Amino acid sequence: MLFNSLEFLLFFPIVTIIYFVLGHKNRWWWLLAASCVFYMVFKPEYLFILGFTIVIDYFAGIWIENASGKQRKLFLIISLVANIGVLAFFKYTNFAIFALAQTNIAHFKLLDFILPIGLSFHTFQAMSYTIEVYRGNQKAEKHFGLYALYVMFYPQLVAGPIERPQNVLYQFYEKKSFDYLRVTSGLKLMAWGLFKKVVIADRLALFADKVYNSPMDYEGIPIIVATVFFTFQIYCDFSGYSDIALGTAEVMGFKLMKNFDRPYFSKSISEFWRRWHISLSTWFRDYLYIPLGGNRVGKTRQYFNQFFVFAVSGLWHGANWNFIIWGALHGFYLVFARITQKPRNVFNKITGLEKLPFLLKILQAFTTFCLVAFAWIFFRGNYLEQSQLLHLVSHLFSNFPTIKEFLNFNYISQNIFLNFTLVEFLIAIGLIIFMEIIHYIQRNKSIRQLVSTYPVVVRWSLYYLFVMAFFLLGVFDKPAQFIYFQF
Amino acid sequence: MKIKQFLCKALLLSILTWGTIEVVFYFDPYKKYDLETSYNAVIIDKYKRLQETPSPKIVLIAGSNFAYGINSKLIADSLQKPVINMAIHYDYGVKFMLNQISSELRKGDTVIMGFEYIIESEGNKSEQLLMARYFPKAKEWISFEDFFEEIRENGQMRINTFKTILERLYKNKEINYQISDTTSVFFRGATNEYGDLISHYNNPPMKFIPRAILSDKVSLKDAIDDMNVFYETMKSKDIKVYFVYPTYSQKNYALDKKIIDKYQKEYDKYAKFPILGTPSDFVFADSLYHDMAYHLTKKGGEIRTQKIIQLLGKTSL
Repeated sequence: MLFNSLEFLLFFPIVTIIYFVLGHKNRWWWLLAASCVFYMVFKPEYLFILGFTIVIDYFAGIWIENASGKQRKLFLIISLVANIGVLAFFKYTNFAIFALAQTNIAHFKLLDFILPIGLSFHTFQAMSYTIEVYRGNQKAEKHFGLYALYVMFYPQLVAGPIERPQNVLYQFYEKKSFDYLRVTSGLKLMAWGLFKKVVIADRLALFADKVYNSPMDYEGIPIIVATVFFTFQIYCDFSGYSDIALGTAEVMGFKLMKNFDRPYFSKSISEFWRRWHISLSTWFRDYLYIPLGGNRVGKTRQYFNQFFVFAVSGLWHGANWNFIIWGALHGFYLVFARITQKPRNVFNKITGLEKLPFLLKILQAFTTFCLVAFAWIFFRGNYLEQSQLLHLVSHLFSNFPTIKEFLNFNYISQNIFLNFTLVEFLIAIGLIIFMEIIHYIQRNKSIRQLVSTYPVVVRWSLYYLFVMAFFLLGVFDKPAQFIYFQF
Repeated sequence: MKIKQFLCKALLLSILTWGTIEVVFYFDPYKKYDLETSYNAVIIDKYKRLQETPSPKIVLIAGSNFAYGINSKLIADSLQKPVINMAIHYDYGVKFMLNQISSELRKGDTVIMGFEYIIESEGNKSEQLLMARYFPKAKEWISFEDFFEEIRENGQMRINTFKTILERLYKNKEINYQISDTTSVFFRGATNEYGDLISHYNNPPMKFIPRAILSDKVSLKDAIDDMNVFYETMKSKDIKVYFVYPTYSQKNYALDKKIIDKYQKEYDKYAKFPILGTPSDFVFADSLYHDMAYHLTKKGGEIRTQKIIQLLGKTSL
């Protein structure tokens, strides 16, 4: 079920009201049943795949806790193999078959099935459970229903945040009451998430799709404009989803981890990854980077590990070379940044930038933004043919206009507005600025809390205007999936 | 108590916001003007003629390729039967268009279908609902997948209407559509007494006919299945149903021949109804087209109509 669907508009209040009406003892099964329904809307039979890993991990957790020595490791390996096996089979088999055929090593028939929705998310969440039990950070969950709910909790089932058991499981044991302030706060977060998706992301998608759907027709500025729009589109799309997930959980009294923290204000790529898809980057840090040696190994090994982890992170997103390039590119950025740290410091000293911290921050944020945006070309181009993608990358800075051409309205209309009207273009830009202003204000104070301190008339006027702006500016013609659902 | 209080507030906010949209929708200041001028409202006149014309009659149904490129008078004179051209726009979809005519067909009538290559079974619900706004009977012709789709489409139409009204209030600009002018094409009074679109006769045709969009990934099977169901139903009522391929400009045909061949194979494979002619029978020089690969000029329409008459002459009609 999509968060931006009419079905969810009906599902959410029914589930939530009954959740509060039911006693604490009965809430777990109600939420579990609701989560099953939520998932089954996509493809009912895939519930069995989810069920398979849930059963394996549930027992693996108990066995790991009860075992000792090498046996503990064996049970952990069984659990990891089962999870990675399911993920590999559904997500990477066709990719492997295709790669083998392309390199003429072997030819097999491609398998005909649709990838279970959100597979990478709930598999990683399930894996974090057995790993944490193995590490002794989490007690094995004896209640099968609660464990299943940990994996299947519908707000974060299909696109995260990828939770850790110690953050969530205990919350299912807590008695949650109807707290008016908490419920309205959760609803506001949901509304903001929905606004980011339906109004901002889907509107920016109109611009980005124009170029990315027929890339060979464009060169230079239109590609840059579309890529910048996509950079904000994917942020609004994914962080919008996360906001709805966090808000939905908050309404029912659960606190999920923050997944985004104004990533486009980052001043370096490493900072970007501390602010973007936090639940995934910390997952890779805790369960792959650190076990590979983390910062305890030599520099060269560290660089390799960092690069490797990001390439794997790209592969996590999708069985496609584009995603691997995207991840590897980020890995390269990080390694390059570490290698060039000293010369860059010297450069800042010589040029005097060091004494202008504000300007330096702006330059760093701008550079980071450009690097991130460039990498998104590969991410967005995952459906494109190789030649089309190459065209986008190789023609990014070609066919630039003369000043005279640039000042021509027709040129601007075709190449910057991408044949949309000036008003439509300004609305898109205005929405990006509006969102970033909101984020900037939110640095120190939650806008939700701020709004609740306003007099009732002001508050209700704001609510009214917000909903009307949602209807007026939202893109409803083509109800779009969340980009991250495909992972 | 707090839950009740909260639910009341949530309900109040919903009523206030959605209520605004509903109020604007029902008191749309442009509704009367649109009813008189909108192209979607042309159904009122076409349907009236369909109802009032005695059987045996010939009913033409398709998208704009029939609306533009048919001279119904030629058919009527040649076959000595009254003709009603019910074609408006391909985007309504096959199911909707066939529903549109089926209840008004009687024994002895003849239906000629000429759907475009890009036709879909279900069609565009927004367009269908827009027609139903001007002509409430059209609601009966819409088939929604489920309750959610019905709510979603109706809601979307209200939101779109709300946006359009605000935009029009801001721009405060109305167009005076005229058949005699050289610009307007799509408006309610754009057709002649048979239902043929004639508003483009005075308008200069485009120098180059733009590239049409066809996809080899699209299958017409669902649309052909709808036509089969319609054919079987009509056959049981002694109503004749024929299909003719849509017209397509020469240059576009040369470029899309492979795809059109694929579509023709689908018609040959799945269609139970008689098909008159082949796609190439309705391919004409680009100079006979008005503004796109499906839209013929007056002269092109006459040539195409003669071709249809010739093919009909080979049947028992």
